[in-house]
Amino acid sequence: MYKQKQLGRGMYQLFCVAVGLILMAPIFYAVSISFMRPEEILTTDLNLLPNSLYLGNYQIAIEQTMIFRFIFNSFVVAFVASFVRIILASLAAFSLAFFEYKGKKMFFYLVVGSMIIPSDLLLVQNFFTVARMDLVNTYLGIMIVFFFNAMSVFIMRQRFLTYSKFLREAALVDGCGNFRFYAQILVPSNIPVFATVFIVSFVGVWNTFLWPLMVTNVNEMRTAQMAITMLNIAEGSASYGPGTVMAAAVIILIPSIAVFVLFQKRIVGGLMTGSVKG
Amino acid sequence: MKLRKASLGKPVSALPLKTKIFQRVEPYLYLLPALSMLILFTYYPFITNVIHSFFTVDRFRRVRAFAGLRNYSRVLTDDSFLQAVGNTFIYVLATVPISIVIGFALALLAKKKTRFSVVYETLFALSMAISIAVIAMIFQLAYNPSMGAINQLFGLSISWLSDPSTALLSLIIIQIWSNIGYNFLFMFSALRALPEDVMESSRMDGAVRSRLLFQIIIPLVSPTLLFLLMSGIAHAMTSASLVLILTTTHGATGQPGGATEVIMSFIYGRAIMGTNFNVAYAATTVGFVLSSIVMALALVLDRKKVSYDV
Amino acid sequence: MKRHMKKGAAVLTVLLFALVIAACGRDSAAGSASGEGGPIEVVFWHSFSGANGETLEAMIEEYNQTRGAEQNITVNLVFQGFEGTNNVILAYQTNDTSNAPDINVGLVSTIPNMLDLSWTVDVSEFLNNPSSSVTPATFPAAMQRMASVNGRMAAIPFANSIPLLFYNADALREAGFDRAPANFDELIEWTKALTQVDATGAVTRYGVNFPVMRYQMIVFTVNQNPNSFFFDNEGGRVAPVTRVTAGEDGTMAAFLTQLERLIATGGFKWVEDNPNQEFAQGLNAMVIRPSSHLGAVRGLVAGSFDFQTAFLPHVNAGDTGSAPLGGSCLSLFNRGDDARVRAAWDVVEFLLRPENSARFSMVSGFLPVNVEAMQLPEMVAFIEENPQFLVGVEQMLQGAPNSQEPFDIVFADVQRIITNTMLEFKNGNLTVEQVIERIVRDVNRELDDWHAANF
Repeated sequence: MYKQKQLGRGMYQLFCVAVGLILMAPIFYAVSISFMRPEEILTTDLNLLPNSLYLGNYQIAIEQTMIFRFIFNSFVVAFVASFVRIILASLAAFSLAFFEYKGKKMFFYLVVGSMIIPSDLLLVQNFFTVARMDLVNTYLGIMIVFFFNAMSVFIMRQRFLTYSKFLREAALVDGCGNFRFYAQILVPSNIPVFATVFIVSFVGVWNTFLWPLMVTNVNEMRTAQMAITMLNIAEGSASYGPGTVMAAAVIILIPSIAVFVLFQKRIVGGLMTGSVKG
Repeated sequence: MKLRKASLGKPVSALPLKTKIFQRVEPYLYLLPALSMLILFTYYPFITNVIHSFFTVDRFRRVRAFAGLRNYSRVLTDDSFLQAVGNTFIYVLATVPISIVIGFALALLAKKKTRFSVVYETLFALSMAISIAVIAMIFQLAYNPSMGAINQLFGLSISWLSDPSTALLSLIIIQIWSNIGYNFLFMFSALRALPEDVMESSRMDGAVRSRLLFQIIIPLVSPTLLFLLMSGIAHAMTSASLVLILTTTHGATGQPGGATEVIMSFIYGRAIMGTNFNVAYAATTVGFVLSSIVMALALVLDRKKVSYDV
Repeated sequence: MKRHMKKGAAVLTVLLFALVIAACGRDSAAGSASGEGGPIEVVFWHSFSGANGETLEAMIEEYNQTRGAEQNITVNLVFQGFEGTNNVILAYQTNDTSNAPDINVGLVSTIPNMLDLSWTVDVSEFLNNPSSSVTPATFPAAMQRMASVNGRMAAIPFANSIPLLFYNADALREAGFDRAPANFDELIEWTKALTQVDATGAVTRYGVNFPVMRYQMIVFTVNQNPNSFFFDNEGGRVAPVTRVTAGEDGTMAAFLTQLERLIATGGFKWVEDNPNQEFAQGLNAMVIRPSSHLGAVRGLVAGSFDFQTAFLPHVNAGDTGSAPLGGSCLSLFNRGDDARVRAAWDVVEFLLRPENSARFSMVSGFLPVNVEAMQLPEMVAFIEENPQFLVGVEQMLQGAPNSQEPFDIVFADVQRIITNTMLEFKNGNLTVEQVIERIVRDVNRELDDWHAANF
């Protein structure tokens, strides 16, 4: 009876792993293709595994593009933009949750109201603003439109509002100034919420494609996402082919997957305690 | 003001003027960075766009003449724009609910901690770490009618991305795949955060279990569901990455034959590739209106069911 | 004390932002102005990938090390994909000279649009300068005409191609043909014979593969007679285009009628998935492509069959037009520094040397833009070995210079309208008359809009 149960549990886990592997099949496919010679790829016969570990695709991807620079750019942009976003959002939420002042209601509605304005639709106009600020081809230019996010402010404000009044007042009576209260008590005790907002932001910025495409036109500033689609333009030549694109894809995937796997536990932890309250 | 009193423990009037002024402006200071970004990159472009949509502008965006509603009538009678709107709705209705359901189902599968749960949790969530451009490239090859694995594996001969009847579906599949990890992770965390006894009771038989799911678990995780729904809609209403990467050829967006044209790719095609800002501005405003309606609708529908006392 | 701290903290926050922002601000990447005495940097935006891109890179590298080094000029080559011309126009709208190029490679049809930019350099001044090594006579007559607006050359021919029929001569011979089809009647006959079907009725080899988008529509209408320009005003070469003429002059109808017959054979593959690879794998016996794919296709075929090219088939036997040139030309921009413009011209002169023209052509299949390139011994030897490359040149030299791709100022709209309408035609939803009516109506509407906004 016990053994049967254990067997059942084993089967269950096996099933789950199988589902996960099927789900990730596209990634295995990309890895496999990236090691194939062009003639193995350019065929109508099904070839799921490379005949040998051919590294030529990686060589072309690395030699012909500044792929590591592109990945670095993507990281800088996603990381810094998300970092600034949580600071901006938490300061604004701090102001909205703990102070009483003229116009507060209006500001709050401005924040909430902006949630229904999809930011992607503003890209064209924002491009001209950023260009007028002379920020084309700069990290700041790529990041600046991601600094503010209404949802982040909203989530943090909701969180701060649940704060025990006693704790706050005790801290203040203790002679702890407003900013110190923010920096030394509010921030450290809300790391999970910060983590959640940071992750949501990181994923969002990491994924953006259209905006970096518009605000950069030099190699040094391109992000990995746009670079890989540019590699793809080399359609149908003998030296560049799907293999090169897949090799570039794998190179881009490695750091992001590594970071994700490393931090996944923390992400879940952050999401659990700082769970989103619509 | 209560805070200020509490912090200093003496009447406000007793403070020096400089401090008083600082205390007045202090909350605004904290708000300022966020607010300036909000105004500069959300409200300013929004308002500029709406105003310009009532004018005729040339291809360098110089205002030439007042146009009244002409740009709107032009866009709203343009078959290709109407097709883009239709496709956008199909895109939202297909990608958002399906990704959430799959993410939720996977979260239910993975909610129990087991020896190997780390392995499949990671696999389920991994698509979140893979950017849409990268996965688009991978699927592009997999969809290829002659060299791609999909046709080869299943013995099909479908031109996935270039046949009007399958192109939008092909993009939807990629988008769902890409959303699964994100939705899974949020649902999974929400489930893990539920009280232990709720989780324990999942050992019951089928009938009771489905009642448990619909009457207890779903209401408990409804805030997360709503968050995913809203952010999913907002994203799906205005995303064009897949269209621009996979189904745009030499200036013609949303190929084949407009089958994958969505609102955002329409705007990009007209404004950036075609420098026809008249049509683009009007289309943008229409896009605003439509997406706010959809979001408001989702909000109203959900308000009734969402439970906030988690 | 405490009060100071508070204030300090608030100020600090603001400073922190400034710091974060400043720290990750400007990269050295932004186009730097040529400082006094420093090297002059010429920013060159291009759209060549694969082997073509590598060849251009090699030529620029050579320039930087030789002629550029002597004159203190460095070329910064930047790949832009197809976004280059869009990006120039975007930069121009915000007057952002620092993020614009000095040289841009743009499609032929964008030449008149580029002329409206006040930055655009009037290249005819350079071309007509007697001391210049590049003059209008450097180029074949057809190319001069291609790049001319109102009789003046407005851009520099550089990467120009001509549509050709690529064919698998082995497959043709097997089917009993010792030459390529010269017109649609033959193309239809050849296609029927070349198409292979398996036991289940699925096509295993198509006779011919090409989509019908803007490019194909234009080449097959222009190809009919020397006075067919698709648009009015000689396709925009004497004045901006204002309307489509291919509907009323019957060229569109003639093409569509023949195309309908070709579709009916069942051996015509419309969709362009991976045309080069599929042709090289023997999945399609013939394919219509710009000559710029010759290099790639030759590499992919790699001698696995007898790969040959032929003139673009005429729509009807007896047609007198010829295949128009396409591809991209160089535009030069003045970003407020004449020394840079002169430096950019120096780069142009270098790239157009006969040996460089030949080199770029031999790798890619772009036509050699310098007439002297054809006489170079390496080119003669190359053509001896690769006769496919000569066909395009002959087609250009034998053709009427008037047969050109039009300057359709609303390129993206024309592309979209034709592509979408033709797809419906292929699916049998529209008749020939309906297609013509829709294309003419929709394109004219875009042109009207354009003229209304840009008077």
